[in-house]
Amino acid sequence: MKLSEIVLLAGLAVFSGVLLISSLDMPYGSEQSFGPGYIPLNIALVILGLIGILAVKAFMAGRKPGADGSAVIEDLSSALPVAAVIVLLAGAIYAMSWGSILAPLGLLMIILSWRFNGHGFVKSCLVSAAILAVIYTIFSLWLKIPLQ
Amino acid sequence: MDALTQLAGGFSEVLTVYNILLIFLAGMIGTVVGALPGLGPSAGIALMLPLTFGMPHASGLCLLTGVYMGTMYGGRITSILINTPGDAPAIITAMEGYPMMLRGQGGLALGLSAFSSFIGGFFGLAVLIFFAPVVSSYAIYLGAPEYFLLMLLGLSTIVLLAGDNMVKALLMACVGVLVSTFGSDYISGHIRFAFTPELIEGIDFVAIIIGLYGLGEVFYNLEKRVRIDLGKPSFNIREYIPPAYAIKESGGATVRGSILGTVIGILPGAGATVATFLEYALERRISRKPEEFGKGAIAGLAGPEASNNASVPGSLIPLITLGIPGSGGTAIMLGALIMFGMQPGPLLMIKSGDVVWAMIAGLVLANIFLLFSNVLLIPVFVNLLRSVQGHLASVVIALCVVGAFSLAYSTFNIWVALVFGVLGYLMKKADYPTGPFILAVVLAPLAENYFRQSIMLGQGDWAIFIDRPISLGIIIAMVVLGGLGMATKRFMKRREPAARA
Amino acid sequence: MKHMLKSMGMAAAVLAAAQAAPASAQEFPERGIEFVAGYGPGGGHDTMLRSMAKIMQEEGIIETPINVINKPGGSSAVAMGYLNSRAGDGHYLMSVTSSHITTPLTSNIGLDFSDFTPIARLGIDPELLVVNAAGPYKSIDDLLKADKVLNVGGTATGSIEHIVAIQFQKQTGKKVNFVPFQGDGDVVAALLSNQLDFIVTNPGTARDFIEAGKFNALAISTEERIDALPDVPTFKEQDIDITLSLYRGVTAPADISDEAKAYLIEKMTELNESAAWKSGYLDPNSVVEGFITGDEFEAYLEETQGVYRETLTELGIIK
Repeated sequence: MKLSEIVLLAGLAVFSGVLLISSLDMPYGSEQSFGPGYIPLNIALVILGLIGILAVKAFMAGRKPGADGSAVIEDLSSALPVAAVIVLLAGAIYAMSWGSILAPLGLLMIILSWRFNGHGFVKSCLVSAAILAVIYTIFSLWLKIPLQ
Repeated sequence: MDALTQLAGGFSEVLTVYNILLIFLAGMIGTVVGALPGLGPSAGIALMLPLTFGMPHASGLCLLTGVYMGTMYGGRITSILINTPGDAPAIITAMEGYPMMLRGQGGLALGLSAFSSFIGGFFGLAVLIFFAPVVSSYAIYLGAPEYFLLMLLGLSTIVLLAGDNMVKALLMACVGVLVSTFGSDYISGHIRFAFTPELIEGIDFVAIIIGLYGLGEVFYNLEKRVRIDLGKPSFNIREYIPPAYAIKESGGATVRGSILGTVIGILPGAGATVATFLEYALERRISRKPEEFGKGAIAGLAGPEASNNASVPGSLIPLITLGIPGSGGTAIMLGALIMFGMQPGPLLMIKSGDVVWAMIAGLVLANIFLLFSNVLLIPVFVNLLRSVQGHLASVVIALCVVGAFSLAYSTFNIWVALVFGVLGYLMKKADYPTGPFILAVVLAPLAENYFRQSIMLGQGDWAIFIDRPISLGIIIAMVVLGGLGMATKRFMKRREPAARA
Repeated sequence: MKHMLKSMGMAAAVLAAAQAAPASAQEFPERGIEFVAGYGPGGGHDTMLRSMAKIMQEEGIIETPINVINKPGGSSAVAMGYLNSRAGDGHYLMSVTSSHITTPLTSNIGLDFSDFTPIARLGIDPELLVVNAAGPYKSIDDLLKADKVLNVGGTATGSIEHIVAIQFQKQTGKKVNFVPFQGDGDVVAALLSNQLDFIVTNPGTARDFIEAGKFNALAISTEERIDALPDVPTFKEQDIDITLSLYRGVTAPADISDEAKAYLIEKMTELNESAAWKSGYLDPNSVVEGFITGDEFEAYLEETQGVYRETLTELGIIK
């Protein structure tokens, strides 16, 4: 099993576990059919079951003689830029809650073009500014969406 | 014949220089708005609404329906170019169109889908013009049990979208069901999982697809250091007009898609989505090259796109005959009709028939204009994208962030998009299919609600599913088709070795 | 430069004055007024506020600019949070309907109507008991005599339609089976195709169908008959004590100055008296007049909240 798959399945297991527990507060059935808790509870259980099946399958495959144990450890260095961008984007969204959407977004775009797409700093700034100007014109000036 | 004379009356009202210009502009505006992720028909109509005050009623309505139709054309542009569908019926367009784009056939994909949109739109319009009263008088006899079965039929296409690993597909479908349970449940009156107030109305579907497809793709490409080479900007119009072989290959699919879209797509709610997925499943089933599906199959792009647009005029049928809106966009049209001082309801055609027929005539014109304006706009969009292709990651992230923000004018939906962006990235990396997930998000809550509603209508008795003739008919059809499908599969299997020998 | 310094000084003075004495005899309004819609563009809240803004400016009721903004999300919970953070500032006015009562009851947002300053109820949406004209029921008596449990349609469990249906059952002793639908359109379609015995809905939805002879309204939930439907008797006339209506109103943030509150109430009263409001908003939307202001509106909200709380608790939706 690859690392990304382990992260994915672990995340889904936590997600369905949380919903499973919260769904216990809601009625399971109603007078005539099922209640609001029925679907979340049962589907969460099915998800946990399916994740279990996938995990067991992967475990069995790993135990077979000749299986390549290093498959678990994936090339982490290739996933690092993605993790960095995700963190940057999260930081930018957090900064947006102070009022301006476009300023943190612009900063993020410059960093993306400059550090991740390998363009020069000046070019990155210019292109980002131009794209933001177009976005601002369409969304804010023309469509009157309160975008700052 | 009656319908034709009334339509002629409508045309005589619409064919003025002012109105023609207006409809043309409305189509262009709709295309641009629809092409922006996060903004679909509802947003387009709502944002244009203030402009229509002070216009003659017919012109105002033409403007709004032109924008509505335009957004349906525009929605495919972002699906194909940056893998970010604007609404549920456009998901298939992204699944088949974006791979074509990656192969450098973006212009062809856009041209072809514009063409099949046009054909689909015409089918839908013909039904609207000639059969609107008949359709609406029968459509109301479809109730919760029939809709439940229809959703079930739509969900069954998960099997076809599954890819090679059924457990993975089932898992993702279940996750989709769970994601769809957030928010208020009108059947029980409870609010499920509202961890923050923004979740009371559930997770915004458009934020999900912006994240899953748009951001997920950007993250994936960053890791693979994919350099998308879309070629140099060019205005050679030949590149954008589909060649004869493509039209031949897509012709049958377009017609089948149009028919399916008109029949199933006009049902309110998820009709259009179910129609596109069923049409996709059908094309894949009858295709001689099923292995091409998911990698940019022409028939897989053209058929569902035709279904999608065939459903637009259809969704207006319940609105103009009964005053019942069948979609988000038509719900806002309803508000516009009231603001114009008209009374949507069974008397609308009697009291304001001239205005309604003018609007229909406007739609016919808009559909024609949209084909031409889209063929003209395609080079603009393609070249815009080509000129920023070195900065694609930051452009797509910017569009996704701004689009997610526009959904509710708050950062909450940007967080939602980010979460689903990470999910989409991990799914793509670990080879989990997105189709079953997204289909479950759309259809599962409807299936759940229609099912409970059916049982409540039957006062707790399950027999309601077989007591109603239409419902029984659908069940029988499903069983027969399923049986036939399995039988042909076996037959083919048995024949294969024989043919080889 | 001098000019700029002067204006900056003035701004600082205004700011200082505003902070020192928020309820002093400041001229109100100091700037434009913001109308807050808890739902997106094109929705019921949005259209009401936009018609209001348009009429108030065209009729010269308010001279200062009015800006309508949308704070959609969470069945108006997001807008309530937004307004709550503007406490003490009278330049905000939010549209309110039943969700102003039900959202606080069914969720955990920690705010309710008493955290705001109710300004005015602008109108009411009464509930009608409607049957299919082609069906067997011509009167309430026919319904009561029917030899089965009646299927009743309305929007959402716990909605006002549901409460009316429950009260109908309690008062008449006739058992009904309430089936929730997603919207008014679905309810109407279900009655048209005889899947339901009767529906509870408001005049805006049913008016055209009644006029077309497809539906009959057998009762209305107001104290007295309304002008738009003079032939429809009230529940009360038929010895069923149901007087429940949806309301449409506006509320301002908490702790606003008395001047601001008086100003807003006065402007709403002027709006209510203008002919343009009646012909431009109330009539086309089938809203019945029912204008009350300030404390009276607050008392009404209190009472409405009581009815909802009782019913939703009985239904097990809230604890």
